[in-house]
Amino acid sequence: MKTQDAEKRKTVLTKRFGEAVTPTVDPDGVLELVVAPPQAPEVLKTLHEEYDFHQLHDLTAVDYIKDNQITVLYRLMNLDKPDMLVVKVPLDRSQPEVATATGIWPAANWLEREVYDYFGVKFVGHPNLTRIMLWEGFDGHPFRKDFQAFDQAPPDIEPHEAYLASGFEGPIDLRDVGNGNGAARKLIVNFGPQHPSMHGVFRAAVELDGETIVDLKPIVGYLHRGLEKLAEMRTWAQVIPYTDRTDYLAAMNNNHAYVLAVEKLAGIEVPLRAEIIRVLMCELGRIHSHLMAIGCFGMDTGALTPFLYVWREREKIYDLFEMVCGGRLLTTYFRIGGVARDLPPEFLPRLKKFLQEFPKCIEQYNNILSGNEIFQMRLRKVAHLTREVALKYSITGPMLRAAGVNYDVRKADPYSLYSKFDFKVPLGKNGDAWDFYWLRVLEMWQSMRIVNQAIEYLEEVGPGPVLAKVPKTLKPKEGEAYVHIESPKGDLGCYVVSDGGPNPYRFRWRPPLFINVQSLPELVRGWKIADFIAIFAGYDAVMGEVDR
Amino acid sequence: MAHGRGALRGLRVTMGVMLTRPFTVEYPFKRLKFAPVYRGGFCFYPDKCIACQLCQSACPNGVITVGRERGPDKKMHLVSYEMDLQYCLYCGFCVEACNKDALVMTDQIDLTTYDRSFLKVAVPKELIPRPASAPSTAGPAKKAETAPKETAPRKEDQE
Amino acid sequence: MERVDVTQGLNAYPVIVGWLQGCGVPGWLAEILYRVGAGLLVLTLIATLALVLVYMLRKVMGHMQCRLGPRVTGPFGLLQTVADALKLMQKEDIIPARVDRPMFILAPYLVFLSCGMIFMVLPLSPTWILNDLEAGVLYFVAFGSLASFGLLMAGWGSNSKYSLIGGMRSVAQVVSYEVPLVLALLGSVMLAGTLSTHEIVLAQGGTWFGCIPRWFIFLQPLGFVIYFLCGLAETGQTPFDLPEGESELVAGYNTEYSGMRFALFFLAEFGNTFAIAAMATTLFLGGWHGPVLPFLPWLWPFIWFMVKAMALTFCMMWVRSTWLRFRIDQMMDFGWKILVPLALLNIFISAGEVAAIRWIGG
Repeated sequence: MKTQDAEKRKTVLTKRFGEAVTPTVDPDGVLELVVAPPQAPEVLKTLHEEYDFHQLHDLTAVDYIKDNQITVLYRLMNLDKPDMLVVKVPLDRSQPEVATATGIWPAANWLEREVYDYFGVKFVGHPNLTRIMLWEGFDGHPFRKDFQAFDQAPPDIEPHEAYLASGFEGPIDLRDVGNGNGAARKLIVNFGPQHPSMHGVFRAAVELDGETIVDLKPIVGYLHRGLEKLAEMRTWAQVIPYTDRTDYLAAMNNNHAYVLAVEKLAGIEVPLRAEIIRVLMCELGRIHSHLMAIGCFGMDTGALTPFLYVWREREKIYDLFEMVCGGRLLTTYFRIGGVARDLPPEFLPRLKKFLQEFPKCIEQYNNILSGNEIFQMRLRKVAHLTREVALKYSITGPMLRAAGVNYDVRKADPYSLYSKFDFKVPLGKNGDAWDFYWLRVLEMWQSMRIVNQAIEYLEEVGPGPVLAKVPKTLKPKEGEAYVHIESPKGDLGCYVVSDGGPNPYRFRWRPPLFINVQSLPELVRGWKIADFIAIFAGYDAVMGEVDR
Repeated sequence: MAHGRGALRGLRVTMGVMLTRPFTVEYPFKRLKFAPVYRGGFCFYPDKCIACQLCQSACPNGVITVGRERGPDKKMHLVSYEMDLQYCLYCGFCVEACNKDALVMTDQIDLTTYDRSFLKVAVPKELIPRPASAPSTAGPAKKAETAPKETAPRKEDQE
Repeated sequence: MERVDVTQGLNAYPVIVGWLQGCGVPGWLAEILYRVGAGLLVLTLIATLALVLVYMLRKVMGHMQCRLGPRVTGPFGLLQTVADALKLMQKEDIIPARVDRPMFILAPYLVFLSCGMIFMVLPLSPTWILNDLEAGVLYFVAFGSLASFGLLMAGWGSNSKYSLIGGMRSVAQVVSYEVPLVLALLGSVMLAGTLSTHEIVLAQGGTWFGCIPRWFIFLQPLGFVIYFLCGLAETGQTPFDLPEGESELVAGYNTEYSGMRFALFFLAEFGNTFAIAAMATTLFLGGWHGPVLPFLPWLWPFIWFMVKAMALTFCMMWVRSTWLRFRIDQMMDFGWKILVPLALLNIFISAGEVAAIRWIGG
């Protein structure tokens, strides 16, 4: 995404901040401000308040060991224009310290904890600067380039045992719950990490007053696999299978984000046919992911049957995926410069058959689930996600659109071929759980439209190469690239930095869910347990992406 | 509370589905056919392998170890071929890298084992063809060449 | 009104007690032996019914979810539930640390007991009724709500937060739905003029205009629907499965139970399901009334009773696999704000019906 009027802004901002910032415009047309650490909070605050960058899109860091710097990178956005701006704060490696941005954007909370965890950057004034993915007591910060993985002594005591030894939260015996002397008696219940309705290993420590939720503390990191660190040790092409495993319900979309970023970095031209196939696959992936989401809505509210109906269609989509790439869940289909292989001849007829059947299936889900009065009672007017909260917590994806913000990366910043397709972005009004659900159903219809157009386009383009000529060991020139796409879960970003070597120097995955989940306490406070489950279904959380 | 018509329509859907054919198959007894490109268990043909180590370098996780040495004819030939399948992602990069179709993926899906050690598989020495200048074992070796060697763990641990 | 005399078939009580006394057993002992034997018979009946119903539930739910259900164990998977029961019996009896032991141990028995006691007043056929109490319907209601004590004991005794919330929910639910349930029953009781289940069935014999069977459902459609919904709530079936709602409370009050204790909860759940359906059959669907064929005339009423009860059980399973769960406040609202007023209205309707029947000269 470009910064609007980048050159003009550059002069304006230089005038406004003077010596404190050095603005440059990078080849993509994004304005970059390099700010010295002492001025950083002031600059960020001004950008937020005076220049309307109301969303902290991403916050990450890169360790430039040669310059003895750790650069903290704030990617700010204005969703309405849309507009993007990057603020880079270079810090001294020996003592990296910068003021926190949590006061400006609450979404910075977990992002800063993550940077602290990975790089050891101290965010002064952060309310709870602890590790988020790795365990307390982990020695060192793994994303620093001088970190030696195998210097780590295994912990004397396993992290979970340390946790158990530290004493439980709340009384061990229910009979010890005091009578509260007239105050409300509160019970802390752990939903997760193993719980039938938590999507994966998410843990929510819920403080209950009877059936009502007083407070909730989301705890993540149980599925952390160090994806970003792993990627630094693989060649550029070898990272693709790892991206599958972040949001494993939309593997195609993840592939897309990564290969687009690398292609942008290395300046590779992709054959048209390959790009159409990618769009087609991504939209199938979106249908698949939304199918699972609405099925989980049913299951979390107590209806098992729609969930199994959804699996029926999911299997059909998997059969299609299997036909083109041999994988069902983890597809690994996209390659840098195209796709792995062309579509087999029987693919398109089968896809058309599926598209013919699919509207009836959606009709069936509507009859059994959406039309059910109990289901509507359970979801309508439950939770209230306002535009303000959504922007504060950097929520993206269907949840953001449910709050009425018209922001879909496919429209706002058309990547790939999306500008050539005709589709609409459904919007919600109330920001309640029903909107979270219903927008996904509507988006499936739009995805079907795109797939139909892609088929036509594919037939129009005719056969051709699907893989550009890419050197066997890709070595992109020094630089960085950022690409964000609309994954089914939200605005999925991929930030890659190259030092000219065969491996990514830094690989940053902007996980929409990790950022979205932060807002959970805000949404569920004051609702009942059952509402919490329904609202959490609206996040459509896949812990593979939250924890990476 | 609405009138409950939607709930009744749901009842009609379930009854309708109950009267139609189930979608599932009885898995262990009946199996669906996989697509020809399916990425399942590996099948390695030692006689086709030219020990180029492309698969080894393509693997993201270092699953494959190709042992090779220069034969009397100055060509590389295969000495050993090992896979540590517990780290395998089944991404198929090794198969894509192979120019000689020596390594392919099959539709074998029963890949679970009771012990991790079973997942460390190697092609037995007697199945690896000797270099051409050693004609003495041509007879039995040829027989082994024609039989594809599955490196899937199940078969390994029986040997 | 043509009455087929089917009582000649198997009038067990005089036959058995008479035979025992003939063998020289004193009268009081014969009486006790008969009762104990009957109790064992009920246990066997519940166990068998549970096996059948579990199989049925799995099959019905499976096919409704485009699956197959059990297929492998035995012909058509018929032995699957038997295998499961055997597995549960073999399991280690786990009592978690720090539980309230007496409560934890007693709870499943209490729940099962309440379910078993209900079976005493079910008129399976004109003669097959263990004890035709004069206050049979009241007895049914009383023991039906006894189960909630067991569930609360299980929830409290388990010392698990999920169980506790599940137990509390279950009590709240049973207590609120008891009210419309009783009010709905009252309609039939008023029409029959008796509380004895046997006599309520007798009152439904014959036909109107020679074609419509004289079942109370035709006079009490509203009462039947209310009873059915309350029955779902009493047994914790789907729209009201909050006490064990798996997506919220893992398994509710029986989270900590395993093995045989869990099996008792399980048996009681299915026994209760059947008991609710059987009571609905008795009160609204004419009980064992139905055409009697010359072949084995004493068996046919029983068959009709079972067919009707099973059909209702099927409806419960149907609902179970289609609908979803209420939230706790919606569940309460539905009970108190909709079902109770409707049930009260139903009482007025039935009073009108009683008056009308008297006026016509019934």
